[in-house]
Amino acid sequence: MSCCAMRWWRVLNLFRLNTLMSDSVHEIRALTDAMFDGVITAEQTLRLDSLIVHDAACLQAYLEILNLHGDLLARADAQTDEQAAITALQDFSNVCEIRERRTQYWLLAASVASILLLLTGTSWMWIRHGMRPAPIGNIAHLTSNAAFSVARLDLGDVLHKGSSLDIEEGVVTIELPNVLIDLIGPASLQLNNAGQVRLLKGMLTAHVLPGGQGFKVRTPDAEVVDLGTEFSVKYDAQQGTDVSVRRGRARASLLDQTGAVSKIVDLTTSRSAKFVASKSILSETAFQPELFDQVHRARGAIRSISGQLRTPAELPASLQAEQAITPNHMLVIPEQQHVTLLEDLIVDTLTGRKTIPAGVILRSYLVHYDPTDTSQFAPRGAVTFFGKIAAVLNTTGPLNATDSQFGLPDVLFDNHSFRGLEMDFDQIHVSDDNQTVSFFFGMAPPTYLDQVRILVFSTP
Amino acid sequence: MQNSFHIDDLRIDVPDKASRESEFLRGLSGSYRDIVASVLSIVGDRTDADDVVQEICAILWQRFEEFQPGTNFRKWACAYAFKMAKSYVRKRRRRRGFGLSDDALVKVARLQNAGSELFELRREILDQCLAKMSVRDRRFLMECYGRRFTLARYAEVENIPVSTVYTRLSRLRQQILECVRRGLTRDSEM
Repeated sequence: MSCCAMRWWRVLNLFRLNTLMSDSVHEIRALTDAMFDGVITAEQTLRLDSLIVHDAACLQAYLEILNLHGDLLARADAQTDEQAAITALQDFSNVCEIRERRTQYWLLAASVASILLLLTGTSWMWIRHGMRPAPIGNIAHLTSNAAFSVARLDLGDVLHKGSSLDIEEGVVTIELPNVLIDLIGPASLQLNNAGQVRLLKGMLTAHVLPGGQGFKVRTPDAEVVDLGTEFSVKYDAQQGTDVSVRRGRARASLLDQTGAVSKIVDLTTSRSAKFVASKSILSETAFQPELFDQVHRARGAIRSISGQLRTPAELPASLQAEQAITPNHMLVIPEQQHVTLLEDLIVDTLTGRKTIPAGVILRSYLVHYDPTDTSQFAPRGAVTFFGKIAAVLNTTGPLNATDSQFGLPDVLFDNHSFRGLEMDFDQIHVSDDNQTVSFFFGMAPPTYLDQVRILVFSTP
Repeated sequence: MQNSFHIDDLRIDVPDKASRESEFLRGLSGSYRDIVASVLSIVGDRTDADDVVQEICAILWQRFEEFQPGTNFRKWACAYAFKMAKSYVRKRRRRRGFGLSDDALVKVARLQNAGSELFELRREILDQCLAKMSVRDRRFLMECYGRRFTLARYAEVENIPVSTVYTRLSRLRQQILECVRRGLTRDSEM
């Protein structure tokens, strides 16, 4: 150690002698760690500031800890100083390149827009729709009653960073990377980026898939960070924010008036909490499983649908011919969702006779199409499930035989021979990964009803 | 030396490029740890510090003409690092509504600057402390400090509660901090 460092060390030791036993040095370690990990709150920052400014030993401890963190970061990177410096320059260069590309894109778009303005005088709409930020997700599912307040969106429509969704009624499912959000109308949502959304009104449920941990939902009262879970967030300007975790774990933070985190609670399976920023309220409340019912009724374990498929807003009382007319789309109806087979199920399927052994747990979905003779086109569509497909029952016999086991109670089913598919007119395919079924239903007068039952292996 | 980066990537034309580039990279490599330490001491948050360090490295290259050959590159670079880090923290404070005060930042910068030689010594002792840890603890610590995972993601991958990760990490941090302190005390008594 050089003379200078020795002198410095002695001075520091003098500081430490006075304060080693002091609680504030222990406190500063926790505060500095929180700052380093990016989880420090406004109150904690204030306290940290006070300790640094007024207590020399705390100032020294703060630096000592942060320098240690810095050294550990360098060790973890396993790079030489030279490599680390070059990596930093490379990273910055990459960021510059992205910024530059973005600038070039905007310049190009602006030039094109100017020309169009001159040419047509109506280019405003083009600019609004043509110069959009990066796509981050898409509409994965709609109930048949889904109604948008402003721009109408359809299945598969791409959603861009910063875009908003306003729905008046129904359930709209948004697919982001490794996250499914069900927005339940009336509701308003802003997509800040692929990992964070802001709920401005109404309710959503978030189903976070492996790899999507860290996904955030913010409201004016709270911030919810997923730690591997399925949760709901409900926001009302008067009532505050309610957060419920159906499965897994989420970290929910109460925000203060400035939007800074003031309190944190970790919510686990079947726990709920209420957050009101204006009154600094964070209180645990009774878990309400029914909050998730609407989504489960609407979507079951469907991952996405496409084409002219919808799920029902409300379950029809009768699925007999001409009782639940679907002129422009097919319905995919979640039926019984956790049926444990008590004995082997032997059934004729799309791919021949099949035996599903006793003990297997199945989910059932009925695809229903019943247009009228005024319908202009035969619809196409596809449904993708989280689980693997066990069987597709496309003929009348197996459909009739399984109604009581898999159909929803109190629903009337048709048992006429035309109920199943007529393979001369209708087409149905199962994907190679066994998770998607696609349909093309022809219209064969005088009876138009077509139904298919899909049995899917239940996943946890 | 890694050869995949060229200063040209920053699209800056300078005279006598090759020698200036190598001089800059030599200076930057020699001061890199101090730059990171300076920024981290002001910014505090590891993610923010990462972004600021990247930007500082590029700014230093852009301003390299101002650097007088033969003078202390580290001092020159760290002065910029402190300045830019403080500016970043002020902006962040305005955006978030909270942050360390200017008073605190001045004190931190002053002490960090004065203690740099000591911090160099600490790095040597840290290596000894890491070597004393069990392989399991060391691997855990490196995973937590690596860029590959956030702590929440690490907990998910390892299928353990995130609170367990924080608790274990906190214990190891305390352990290693005390080890380094003990090492420094021993060194100062020699």
